[in-house]
Amino acid sequence: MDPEQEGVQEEVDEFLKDANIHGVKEAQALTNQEVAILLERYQTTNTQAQPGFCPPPMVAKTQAYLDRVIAGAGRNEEAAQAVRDRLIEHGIEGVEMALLANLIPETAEEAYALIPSLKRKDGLSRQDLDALLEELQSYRTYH
Amino acid sequence: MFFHIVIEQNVDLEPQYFGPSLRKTINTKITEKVEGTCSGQHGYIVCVTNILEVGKGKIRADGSGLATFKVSFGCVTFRPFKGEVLDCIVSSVNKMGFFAEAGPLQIFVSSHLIPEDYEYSSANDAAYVSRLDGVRIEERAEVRVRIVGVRIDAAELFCIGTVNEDFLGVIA
Repeated sequence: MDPEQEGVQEEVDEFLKDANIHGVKEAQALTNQEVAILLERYQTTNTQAQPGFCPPPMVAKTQAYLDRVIAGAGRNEEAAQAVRDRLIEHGIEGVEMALLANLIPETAEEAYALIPSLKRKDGLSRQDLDALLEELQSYRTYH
Repeated sequence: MFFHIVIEQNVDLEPQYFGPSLRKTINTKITEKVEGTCSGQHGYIVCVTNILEVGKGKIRADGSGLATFKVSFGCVTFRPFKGEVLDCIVSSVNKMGFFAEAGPLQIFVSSHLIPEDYEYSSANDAAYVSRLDGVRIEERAEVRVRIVGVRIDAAELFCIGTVNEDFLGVIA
């Protein structure tokens, strides 16, 4: 197999095989939007239970990072779910899905450069990928 | 990148907690034990999302009176992988390269992995400035980086990255 096309999924699979030994049961890649929504929920739940709750430093740091990186895109749950569904519908799952949703490349060429595993034989055609990317761009602005 | 994983771990409880709020105490204990930690096996555990299952407690045979509970819980983790491209925020720049952060993770990009047209400038704020288009890699800039190496220490992950490829570098 062309080493360039082996990509991140193989690294992740190997990591998970190893992690299983250490008590990790299942793993699902998350997009930045989804993590932002989860952290917001975490914040709300804890603030309700304990008024004046201060999130731990790692959570605060991660929230600040996500605010910066998904700036412009809202924390709309339906949009995040729609992005996930559209990508899975097109046969893009797991790590590839998360990478595409986080990086939102503008053209198929950029997508292939950033995520080489998309070039696989049974992957999307260039035109389909271009159309999909255009759709993803439109989801960015939902609030 | 971020993952949602389900982990099984054991937590010990002192006899003083064997009462009506046992479940609540177990939840608090596992959260305190695990949130904010980092390991090679899971990456950085950012937060616990839910507790799925708590096994029956087993009293330890060592005479301590503690009971061990096997807890299955879901959590959000951050674990970088070689070959992955991600966006990060530059935290400091020096003539060896620059440090950037992506959530809890720190990434170092060596000057050897920055394109040739970038020159280090120590005037005012240290930055790498492109001779072609004047783009600056400076503190607080958002940069798209590819991870080329991951090092796992006892309780810390550290990455090396590159911006010397198409579509990588400062994000407008």
